[in-house]
Amino acid sequence: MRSTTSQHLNRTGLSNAPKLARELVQGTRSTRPSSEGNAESMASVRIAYSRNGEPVGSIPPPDPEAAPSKALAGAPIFLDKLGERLAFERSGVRLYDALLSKFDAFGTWKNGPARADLEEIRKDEFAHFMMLRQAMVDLGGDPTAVTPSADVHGVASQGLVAVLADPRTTLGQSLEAILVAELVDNDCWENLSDLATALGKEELAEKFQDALTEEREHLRRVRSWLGAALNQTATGELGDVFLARAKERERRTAGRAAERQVKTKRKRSGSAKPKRASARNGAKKASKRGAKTGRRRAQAR
Amino acid sequence: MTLDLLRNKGTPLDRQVFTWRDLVQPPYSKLDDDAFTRVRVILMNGIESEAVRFSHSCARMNASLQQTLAEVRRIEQHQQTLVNWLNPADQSPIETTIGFEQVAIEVTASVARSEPDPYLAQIFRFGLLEDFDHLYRYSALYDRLDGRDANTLLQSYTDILPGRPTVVEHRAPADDLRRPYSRGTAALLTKLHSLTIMAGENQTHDYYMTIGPMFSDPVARQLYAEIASIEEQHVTQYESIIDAEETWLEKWLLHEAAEAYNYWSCVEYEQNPRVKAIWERFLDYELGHLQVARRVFEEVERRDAEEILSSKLTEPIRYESQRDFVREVLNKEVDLRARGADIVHKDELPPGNPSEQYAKQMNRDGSPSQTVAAGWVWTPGTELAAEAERGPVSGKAKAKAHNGHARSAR
Repeated sequence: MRSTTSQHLNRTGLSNAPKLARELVQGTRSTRPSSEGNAESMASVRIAYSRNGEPVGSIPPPDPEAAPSKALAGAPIFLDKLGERLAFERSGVRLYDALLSKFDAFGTWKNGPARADLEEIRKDEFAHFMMLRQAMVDLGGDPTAVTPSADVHGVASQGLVAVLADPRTTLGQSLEAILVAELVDNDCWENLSDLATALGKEELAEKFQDALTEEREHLRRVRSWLGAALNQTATGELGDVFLARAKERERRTAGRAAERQVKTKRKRSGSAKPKRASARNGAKKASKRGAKTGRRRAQAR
Repeated sequence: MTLDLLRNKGTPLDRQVFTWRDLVQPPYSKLDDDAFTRVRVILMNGIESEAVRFSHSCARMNASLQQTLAEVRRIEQHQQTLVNWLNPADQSPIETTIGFEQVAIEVTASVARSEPDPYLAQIFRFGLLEDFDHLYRYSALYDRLDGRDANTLLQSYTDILPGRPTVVEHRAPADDLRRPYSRGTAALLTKLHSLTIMAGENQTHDYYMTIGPMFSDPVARQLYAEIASIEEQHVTQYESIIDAEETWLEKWLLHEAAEAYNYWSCVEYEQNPRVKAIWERFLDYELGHLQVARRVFEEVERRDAEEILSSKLTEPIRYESQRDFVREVLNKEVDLRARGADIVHKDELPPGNPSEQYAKQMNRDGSPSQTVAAGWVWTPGTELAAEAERGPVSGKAKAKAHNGHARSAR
């Protein structure tokens, strides 16, 4: 791993130039602001603008050339969120492209990502984008349009692209940005899947659930790579505390996945109480995923 | 050290070459480089920007000069690119803005201290106190919008205090015009100072006009609108101190001389060896441009360039904290105002004068610069650090204050 700052001197703190800092602080002690008030003055302007403002934009109308059979049955919010994930996954492919450049430039570390790991995640992100694109077309939406949620997430993600594309950032620093993306992605896939279920789009909900499972695996791997990097940088070895936390997260994730499977099956079958078999199946699937996870971890090493 | 503008021939034009890779060099570090490296990068971008702007204006008015100007201008364009691209990507627009205001304070203070013409020194000090206030307002914005401390960029070189309040800087156009130096009698240093500060203010105006709409916060958008307007006034002020009777070729010579003078000043102070090598290279490029301008000047005007550029330059712009000087100016001159071309005490202005009326109109719906810094005092580590030391404000008290503001906004 490359050390980013060892040969430089960070000058951002007051301790960088104690004499100058003393002069500065002494000079500001007697400052009187030129107007009374506090930060709430800014808030009041924000509130006034918000109350009189326009929205970011509107949800694109359905494709007028779509077959009538494809007419949108769901709530507009579903199209909005579908467009959001579509754009995010498409950008995600580019994030992993940039991450691969970091890997090629700097290499990896013990228990860090292998190139094949990053390529595999990139492939998943691309597959999710393709799947969402098709879903949008099937619903009569326009997959080329930018929905309001897609725009908001695009703005929120600007920093991620900036970190990953900056030639000065390391693979480890870039993974910190990827962690942010994967955390958001996990929650947003959960929301999209739940929204599909709520709107009775069971087939889509199932596809989204599969995507979520893959995204959870991405998150787990990114966390473990970062943990390994941090621990090795700090102590020179992979600490038990990171391994224990990873194991605990894995256990919780498997438990949540099993619970979700059970709930979905109950909803589909309309039964009030969980059947033992369903619960068993869910647990079985979760355990299968755990095995897959273990294999991937072995590959990462 | 001295700079002899005419004896040193610099790099010939045909050896001033670039590649795209050369134009995009590794940037300076926002965290590790000295704040004055950022100050120099920002100022030199402004100097090059003025070179390109002037060259285009000159070409539009002088058909016979178009080819020579185009040849030199292409190089200026690439010099500007290389210099401006030294700004790092992790430096946000508000952070670069704080750098711009540090330029306006420290460079103008250095210029004001060494300016031989007392009237122009006064004008530089007048503008200085306004930019000083802008730094305070932007620092408040940086704290209250991003939760960050402007001093991490300023590195304790520059005070963060109110200056002449921005709210009173809005003047009627006639009160922004000053008396020019005389081309025949003014010192070379006066001419170079004037061009330098005009160039700096012009790029500041252009920068704020470009990035202002990139902010989502309405107060930030208003503040950039307000301060960009002042920067426009400053361009008006500083271009009016330059003698409009100078010929186009005289102005070209002076522009090239100002560029060389500024690169020379950068070389004198730069600590980053990689950046210093760029300043040295471009000093030689500018001396080469000066030779081209000199040749054209002497051919067309049939007079010696030494009439304009006779003196050797011995005093570079000083890239060091001007705190004591700025504080002294602040104490003595904060209450000065403009009345036409004169700088007078505010008590001498008649009530209802055009500038007062104009400011009243512009501030009628509120003053962004007052809003952003309401009750704000710079504190190490942001005002939240001060709040943490005092203890947090109770939720109830905060909600009460918030509701009061919301009502008044309606």
